[in-house]
Amino acid sequence: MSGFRTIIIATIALVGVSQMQTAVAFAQIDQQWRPQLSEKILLLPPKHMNDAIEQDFSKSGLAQNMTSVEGQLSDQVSAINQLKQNLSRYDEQEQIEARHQIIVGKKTYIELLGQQIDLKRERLHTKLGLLKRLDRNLSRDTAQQKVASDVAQLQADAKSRIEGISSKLREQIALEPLTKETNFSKVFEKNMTAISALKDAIASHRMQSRLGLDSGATKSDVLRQLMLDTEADLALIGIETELLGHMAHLLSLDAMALAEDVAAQSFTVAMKAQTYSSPSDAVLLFTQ
Amino acid sequence: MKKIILTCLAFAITGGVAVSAMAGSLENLERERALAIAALLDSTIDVEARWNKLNLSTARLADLEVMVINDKSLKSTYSPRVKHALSNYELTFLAHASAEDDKSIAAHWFERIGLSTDQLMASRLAK
Repeated sequence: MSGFRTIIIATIALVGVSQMQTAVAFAQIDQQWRPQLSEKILLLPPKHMNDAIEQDFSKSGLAQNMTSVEGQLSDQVSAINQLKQNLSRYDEQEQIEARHQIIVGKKTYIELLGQQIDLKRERLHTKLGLLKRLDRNLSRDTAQQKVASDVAQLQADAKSRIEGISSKLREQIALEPLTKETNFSKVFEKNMTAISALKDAIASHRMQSRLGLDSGATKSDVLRQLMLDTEADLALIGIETELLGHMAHLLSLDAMALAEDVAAQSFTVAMKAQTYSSPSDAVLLFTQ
Repeated sequence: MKKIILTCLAFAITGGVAVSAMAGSLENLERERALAIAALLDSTIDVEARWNKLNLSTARLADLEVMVINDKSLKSTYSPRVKHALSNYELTFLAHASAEDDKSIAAHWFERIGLSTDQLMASRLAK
């Protein structure tokens, strides 16, 4: 009977543990950034491409997690600062306790900062992966478009030649008495004039320079620049990790100093406690 | 049965109309150019009739050539025929190329295919 009970308890414990693990796994999935952007992002003006990526990130669980950690970091910094400001007001015992609290606060701060750096790294790796995927797709499309671009180039060459001679040809046709100007020709001229006016308006529009549409940078150039920026941010994360290491080193030295001060104080207390009476102290008792 | 045949015929005719309506700008240009060259080589018509036909063709060719260079659908075409046509500017865009050379369409075309007076005079009869 006791064996049966053991089996039941073990089963309940196993089910409980597995459910806890599932909950933890779901929490981890929620905290990740899975970019929802498709290749359509490449249709955006270069300047807005990065904004779209950042907007997608801001909707992710990872962003929420980073914001939450950032809030905790900020709270921790203000708590440490508060303790530091009040340190001079405390007596010796309270100061020891306050210093201990500061060290504990700094430790928590370093742990949170380490967590934040890991999250930052995860974000940058995900962004880099997304940019690489977009770049691969763009390269594939570019290879497919190369053949079409040959035709486009030939067409553009022909267009420039035809536009140069078009007015002369129209004059020659107009000189022929039996040939009337075609309807297409009239409407085409009108439409081309309108298109030219619109193109001028587009070129002089203030948003044109802001969007960087005609800055000469191709989409692959912009993607490459974004990848370089992300790599640079990853390198900065490495430096931040090193900075964190130095902080931790300094904190450990602070902790050692505190431990030494506490030890010295307790040694002083012990020294004070063990004051034994001397016969000379009681001389007055006998003489008076 | 008759209904089915009529329906099929209607579909076939509609399909034919749709196909002809879908003819591209380059096909239209090539058709008009072929008509112009046919008029040029037609020995059954007199000089005046040929002159009038070629003048009409020049006006049409001028329009069609402008349509071809502004046709954006050609850019997404991978057909070697399109590439070949655009590569041979002098023979594809007859109206504009002849105006560039300050010659008539006939003189320009004959010269480009190697049938100018000088070239013919320089040729020799051989067995």
